[in-house]
Amino acid sequence: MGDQSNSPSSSIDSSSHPALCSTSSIFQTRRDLLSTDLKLGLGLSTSALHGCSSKERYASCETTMDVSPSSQSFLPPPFPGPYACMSASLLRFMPSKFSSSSVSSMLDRSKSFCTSSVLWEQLSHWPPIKPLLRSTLEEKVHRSHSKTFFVKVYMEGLPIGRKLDLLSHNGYDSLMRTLRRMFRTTITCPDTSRVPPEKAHVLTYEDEEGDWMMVGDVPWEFFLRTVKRLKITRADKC
Amino acid sequence: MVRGFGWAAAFPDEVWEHVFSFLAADADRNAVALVCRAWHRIERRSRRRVFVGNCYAVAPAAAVRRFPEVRAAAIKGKPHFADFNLVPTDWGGGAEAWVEAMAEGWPHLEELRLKRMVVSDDCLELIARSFKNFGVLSLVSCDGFSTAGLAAIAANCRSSPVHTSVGLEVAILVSVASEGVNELSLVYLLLSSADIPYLRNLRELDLHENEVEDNCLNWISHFPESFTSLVSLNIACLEGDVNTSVLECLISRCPNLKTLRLNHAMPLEKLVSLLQRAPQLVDVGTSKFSADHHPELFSKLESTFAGFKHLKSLSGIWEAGPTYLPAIYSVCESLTSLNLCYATIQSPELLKFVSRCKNLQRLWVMDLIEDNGLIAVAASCKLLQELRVFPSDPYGVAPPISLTEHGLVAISAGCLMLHSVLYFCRQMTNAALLTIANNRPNLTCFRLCIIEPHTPDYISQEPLDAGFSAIVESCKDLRRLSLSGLLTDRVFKSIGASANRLEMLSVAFAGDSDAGLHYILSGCKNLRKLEIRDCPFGDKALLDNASKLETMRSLWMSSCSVTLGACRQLALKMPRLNVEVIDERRGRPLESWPDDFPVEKLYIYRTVAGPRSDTPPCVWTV
Repeated sequence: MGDQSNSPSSSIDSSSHPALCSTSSIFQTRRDLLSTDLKLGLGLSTSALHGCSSKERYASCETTMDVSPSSQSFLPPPFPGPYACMSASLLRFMPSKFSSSSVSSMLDRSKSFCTSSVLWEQLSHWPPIKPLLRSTLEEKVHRSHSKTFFVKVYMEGLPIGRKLDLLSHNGYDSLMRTLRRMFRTTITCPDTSRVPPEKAHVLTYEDEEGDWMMVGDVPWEFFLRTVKRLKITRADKC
Repeated sequence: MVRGFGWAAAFPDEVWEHVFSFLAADADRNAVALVCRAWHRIERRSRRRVFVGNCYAVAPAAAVRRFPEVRAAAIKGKPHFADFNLVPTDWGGGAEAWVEAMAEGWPHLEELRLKRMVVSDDCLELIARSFKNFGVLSLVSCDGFSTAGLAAIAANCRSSPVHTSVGLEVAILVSVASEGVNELSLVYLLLSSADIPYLRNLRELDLHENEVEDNCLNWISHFPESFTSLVSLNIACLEGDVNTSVLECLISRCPNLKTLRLNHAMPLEKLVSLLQRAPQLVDVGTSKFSADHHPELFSKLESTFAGFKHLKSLSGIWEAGPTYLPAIYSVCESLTSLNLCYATIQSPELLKFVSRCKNLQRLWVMDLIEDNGLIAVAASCKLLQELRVFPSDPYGVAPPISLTEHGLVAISAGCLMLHSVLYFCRQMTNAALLTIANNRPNLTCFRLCIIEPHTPDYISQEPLDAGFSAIVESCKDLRRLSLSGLLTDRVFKSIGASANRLEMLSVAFAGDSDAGLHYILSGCKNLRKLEIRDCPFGDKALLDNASKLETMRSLWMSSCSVTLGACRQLALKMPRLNVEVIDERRGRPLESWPDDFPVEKLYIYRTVAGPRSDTPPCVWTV
């Protein structure tokens, strides 16, 4: 669980404080880490971590104060949130009643648990949102994760196509961004024409009647119902 | 004849009562009661409304004895952090003791409002049986009951043309008195028969954000056919299906119905046919607002909402999609309150809807509205007083949303009447907070939650001390404040010094040392509630400011660095405080733990009732 190899820094590094990273890098790390199913995160028990006393959690807060905000030599930690804090602080502020062996076993257990911000929430019931809203959001995430709608995407000139989950996007913008990233090309929408025609591609789709249409004309929900597959064609052909 | 202060006897008691009836605020009535014995006596007999902010601060019997003529009571139980699962579920806050005392001592009670209490079905049944003229039941953030309990409430609702049962009894007695003793006793027998419930006029049944067990599917059908007095029904928190046809009958026969908030489960078609029967509604909470596109349903929805001539408040709109939202554009202009925090629609549709609501005073929305949306709101909703922006993705799993400090700054600049803010975001700067403080010195409630703890000013990397200090210094009437982001002791110094009207402060993941807590407790003259989590605050500040705690309603500290020894000292020093240590992990009793044992959760509150007798295993009153 949790991919440690994508971060060059060691997790035990008191200067790698998540809050001092720019927000975008945190998102980056989180998204990479959340290859594990969200359901798994929600179902985990936190009883193992209840062994950590409040003193350690307090110690984790105190550590972060010691870090100089001006230090730029930090890297995003592999495990955002409490794990980075806890691991650093446990080494520096170990209460005398905890032996090093119990701490390291705690660390090992927490290593296997602290991989996502979902657990961060479970550990510390943060951010403070009320149960009704929390369950509505969790249900929405659950629903969006359990339903998928993969369609084939071909680009003109490439024999091998890709597959894309349309339900993981919430609109045309999101879809365009993903496709641009996937195929490394500019795809223009019907109403924007900033790119010269010889380089531009447009996105088309095959609907349930077998016709090839330009993507973007109908509401997103409607598009989801009728699309069968996608094709990126050269603009000058349209 | 003249005892004590003679002037009090210059007027008969009824005159003083009449004078006191103009005093609405509890604080004023409390002051009046301290003047002399006569006034104390008169005031207590004439007090009609009682608010108990902490159900354990006073014994129920004592409260009922002191104010025998109460008609409306509001009682709060668990600490606020119970909303975020920080308080063990068995902590307490049970309503039985209060309901039993009230059933005994306040038979004329008309309104009961309970918040964050554990209300059992037995409690509900007792409420249903005990109060002759019961009109309003409001349960907010409560748990422990089921729809079977609601069925008991419903079953006991009777509308009567005469407003007191006594009046009815007298009327019947008079009419049969001439017939002879036998008829008289027969009628009396009928009226006092145990089978006939008390006559009541339930006007308002408000279930707001409760956890209700669903074991009685048709509880709504327990409302008798003769029941027509309903004015407000809020069942938004119920999970299960509600029988639509029964509800339709109920709504049709209650002409005074003004508020109807339904739950998520009802499909859109049924919602439409329901709402068609009540075009007089002022406050509507819809059910699920998404369905496959059907032009017929769209036009029915459109005409139903066009029929609402008096609609001021709209909520619910669960899972709204762009398909059906345009059908209700017609009500936008008249709306003063809009709650879209369960509507997970994206920015363009959201924007189109909200920017039509020119008269909006209260807006609760998801952060999906983004900065652009808030800029548009700032331009169109000039009457906005309260804004709440909730996180659609609190755990950071979806692609990031473009909601930043800019949205809030725009609102603070454009909405001159804004006084209450709750804002979840992921980044903030001191400059933005300063601008907000300068734009809106009339803020009374400012709650900012930067989702990642310890987040500094993202441009300067500084702590957000300067920004929050500006808020408390500029907003002289600030009554409620929630802090977040990277904060040192400096911000607490400013708060202690400047926040003179502050009544409630919430602190999380902030501060460097005890000094932070000391600044708050030694300043903040009007502080009533302080809740702290995950801060390095400890024993010294607590003990140095022990007497301050008696001027406050309560203090919550969790995951801080308070030791058991300090709690023991505090409890010894301040006998009128209940110092509750909460620890869910250990099994051994409190007495065996050493003084330096770190306290996981601490709840301190002032009380005249002494230590409570219903503490669960995880709570110790030191």
